[in-house]
Amino acid sequence: MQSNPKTMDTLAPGEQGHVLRITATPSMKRRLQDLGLIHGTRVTCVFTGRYKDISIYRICGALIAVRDCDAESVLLK
Amino acid sequence: MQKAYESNRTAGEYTVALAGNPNVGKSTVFNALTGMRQHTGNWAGKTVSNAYGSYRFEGGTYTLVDLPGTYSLLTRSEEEAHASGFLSSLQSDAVAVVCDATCLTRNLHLVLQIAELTPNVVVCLNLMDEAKKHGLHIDTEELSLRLSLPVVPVTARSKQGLSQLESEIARLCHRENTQCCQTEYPAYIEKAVLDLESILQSVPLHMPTRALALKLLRDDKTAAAEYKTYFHTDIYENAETRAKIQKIKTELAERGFSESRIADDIASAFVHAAEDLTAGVITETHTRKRDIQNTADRIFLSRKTGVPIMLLLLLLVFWITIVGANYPSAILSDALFSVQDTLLGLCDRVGVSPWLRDMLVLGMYRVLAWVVSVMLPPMAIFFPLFTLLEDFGYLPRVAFHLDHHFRKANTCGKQALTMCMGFGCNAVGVTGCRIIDSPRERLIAVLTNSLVPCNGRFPTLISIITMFFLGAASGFTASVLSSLLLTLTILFSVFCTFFASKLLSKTVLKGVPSSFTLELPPYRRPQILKVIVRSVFDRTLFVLGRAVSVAAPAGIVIWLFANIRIGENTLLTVCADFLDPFAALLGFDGIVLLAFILGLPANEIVFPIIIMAYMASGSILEFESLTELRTLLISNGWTVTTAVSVMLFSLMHWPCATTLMTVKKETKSVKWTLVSLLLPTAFGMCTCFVFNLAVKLICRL
Repeated sequence: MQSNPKTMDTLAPGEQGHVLRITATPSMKRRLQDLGLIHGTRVTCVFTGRYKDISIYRICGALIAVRDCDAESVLLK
Repeated sequence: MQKAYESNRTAGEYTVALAGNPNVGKSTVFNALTGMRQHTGNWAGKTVSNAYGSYRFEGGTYTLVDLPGTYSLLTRSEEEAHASGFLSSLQSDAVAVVCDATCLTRNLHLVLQIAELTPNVVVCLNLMDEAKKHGLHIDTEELSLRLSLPVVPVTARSKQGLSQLESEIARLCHRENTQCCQTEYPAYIEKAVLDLESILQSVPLHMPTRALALKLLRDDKTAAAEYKTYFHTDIYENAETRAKIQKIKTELAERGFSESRIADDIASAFVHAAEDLTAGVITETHTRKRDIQNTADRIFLSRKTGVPIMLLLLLLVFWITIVGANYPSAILSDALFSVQDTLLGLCDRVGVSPWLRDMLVLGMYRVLAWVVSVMLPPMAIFFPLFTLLEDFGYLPRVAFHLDHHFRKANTCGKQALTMCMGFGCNAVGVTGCRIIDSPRERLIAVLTNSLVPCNGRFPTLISIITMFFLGAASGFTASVLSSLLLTLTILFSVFCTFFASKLLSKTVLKGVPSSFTLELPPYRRPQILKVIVRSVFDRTLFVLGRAVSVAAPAGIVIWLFANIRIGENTLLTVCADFLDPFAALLGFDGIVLLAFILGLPANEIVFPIIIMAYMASGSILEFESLTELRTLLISNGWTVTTAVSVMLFSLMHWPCATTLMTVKKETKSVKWTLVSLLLPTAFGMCTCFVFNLAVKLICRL
């Protein structure tokens, strides 16, 4: 039923997903991988900003803020 | 391969590198070991360049090198390249990797990567107290076994576990560790590494073959270039070696293993290895502490309460500063000005000539007394309060709330952090801009930093607000009202920062925002007493010392200006008259503009110079309170419009000399230093001009 995989920015606070693939530029991809974001990692959205253009995610126990335009590149399964 | 370094190593002297993720308390460990007082802050990337310090242990001298915090050695940001270069060039006898016990699995990625470069690694498990509060139990012995590395649990804040850390470091320096756990990669990578290792045998090596082979597999061009920079050896000098390496890489690519695929698999291997290492080592129980953290974040970060609370906190900080500074300010001023008469009398008795007496006492001493009594109390209160918020971990939350506006201005969200540092001191804020990776966004943050008022400008703003905008209000109402006005002033300067950043993004520094991630560290209870002592001694006295050393000569200069006569007039009136027509366009007189010019070395002295100049040419020579000061200013033609203009110009004019020198150092460019001078100046002049024009038009209606 889902043709396009869900992306990380579409998670609402409280929702979670597992990483399928990261399509970001190499440097950002590496940065996200350094934080532990690889295939299979669980990501939980914790807060969304006032203007809904940045969210805070719980990744491997840490709180990380990522702008939606960057979170778009994280595909979830 | 370590021979080259060992030859110039003196017996009993060791170099130890301190590595770790950002924000794991690395600087706290550094300070605890060396007894130094390097400033620590609770946000990512506080240490922006190497700090050195040493300590003695059992007869040996250990030099500790505090490397910038990095999440891994795989990314190509400036700090990471720097840390990676230092570690791979084996300049240290041992490496202590500081890990956050509350977030161990992620911290192990770096441990594993460093272990590939050198087996002489000790894992320093910091923040054990926090982990305990979070209900985490870590079996350090089991972890040490699995890693084949010493693991030392530490709570650096309360200096627990440090002696064990020192003895483990000493042990590594004396007897090298021979084996430690190695990360296993997918079979195809392991095979390629073996092949490369046999080829690399013909190259003079300065780092472990396996690490170099992996680097070449990920990105051979960068790896070769870096190797050349650090070791002055070209791996590709030999065409045959080059061809062999290229052949392996081409074959891999043909099988579908491109460089980016290999890099992904290597990164994943570290994550999986770290997960395996901690599985069963960490046990978690639910505690209240975690609930408190979550509740705090719900209050500070949620869409409804986050921003109002941020503004209330700002208001509260200013209110405490204003109320708290009132009494000590009055006491200091009484004391210092009563000394003035004593000094005058003393000079007469000793027989100092009257003009020298006046120059030293009425010129130098009086300005000094002003700077101390007006500037010291607010600084001594504002700095610690600000540091407390910083230590608590609140600033990254501010960055989260402000990010929308920085994104709209096409800049990095971390600029909020450097802007906040600017409230303390613009020069510090400019240096802090190193935490921004993209050169374009870093430059914007540097150029716009002085648009927010530093601590040296707060007292001026507070005095003017108190004198001109409170009216008949007094007591509690007055203090709340003045904090409110100061908060609005600050919000205006933040707005100007957004506007200037956007302007730069759309004109000379065109570009789209680059990607970044911002870690929000857990809240930590600040060590209140330590913060107060540290900020009073390290920051307040430093800033005050600078202000005083500038104020003394400035006091003499202004006295000379007021007393050297050219024909009928004093030099001061001549200069002021010369500047008057231009200053009038901005809404104040020549003396104010002259004070801003003379205040270039330090913003703290601008207001004292204005007062000095008015007193030197006016009739009032003694005053005790702000009410009398207000009378002095009004008798010199000040109105509410003048007050607003001076406040606007104080917010936006040339940065102080220290900040300019820092900009020059950071940008390495005269052109951008000039821009950093002209941008706020142009902003200030335009704003003042438009404001005064508007007032005139409204009055005429």
